[in-house]
Amino acid sequence: MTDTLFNASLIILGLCFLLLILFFGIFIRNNVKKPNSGNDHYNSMRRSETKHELVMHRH
Amino acid sequence: MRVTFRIFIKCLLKSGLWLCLNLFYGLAPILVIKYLGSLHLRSDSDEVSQEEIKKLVQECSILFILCVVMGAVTIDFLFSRIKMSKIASGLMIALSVIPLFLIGMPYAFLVFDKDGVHTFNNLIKFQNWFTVYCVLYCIIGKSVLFIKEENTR
Repeated sequence: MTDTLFNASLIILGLCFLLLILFFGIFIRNNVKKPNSGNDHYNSMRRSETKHELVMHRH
Repeated sequence: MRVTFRIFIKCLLKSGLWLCLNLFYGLAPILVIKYLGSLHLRSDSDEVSQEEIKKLVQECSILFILCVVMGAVTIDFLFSRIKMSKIASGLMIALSVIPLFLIGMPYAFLVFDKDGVHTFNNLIKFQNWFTVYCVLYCIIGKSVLFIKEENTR
C-alpha cells in the first residue's frame, strides 16, 4: 500500500516534469530565434539590394 | 518580439546563478556546520558535524529549502508585469503547487510509520527526485521571467 502511494506520487511528479519540459519547449519555439537563422541585418540588406537591382533592370 | 539565442543562453545562466545564490543562503546553516566540523576544535568535531548533516538530510530538511525557493519563483511570476497567456501562467503556478501536495503524502507515512526502513528509503528516493524537479522548475521559471523582461525592454 505504502509502496503504491509512493510510486503514484513519483509518477505524478514525473508527469509534472514532462509538462514543465513541454511548456519550456513551446516557450522557446515562440520566443527565441533559431541560432543559425543568420544575420538579420545582412539578410535585410541583401533583400533591399535585390529589390534595387530589379528596379534598375526594369528601367 | 523574439530574443536571440545568445540572450537566451544568458538568461539561462542568469537563472542558474540566481538558484545557486538562493541555495547558498538556504543551505548556509549546513555549510556552517560543515565549516565548524573542519576546524577540528574537538577531536570528534568532524564526526559530530557529519552526523548532524546526515540527520538533516535524512529528516528531509532540504525539501523545505527547495519548497521556499520554488515558492519564490512562483510569487515572482504572480507579481511580475510580464504579458503571458492565462494558460501558461496557470500551468506554471499549478506545476509548483501540485508537488507541494505530493510532499505531504510521503511525510505522512514517515510520521505514521516511523520505524519502517522501507518507507524511509522511499522517502529519500522521493527527496532526490523532488530535488531534480525543483532545480529544473526554478531554472525554467526564472529563465522565462528573464526572457520576457528582455522582450519588454
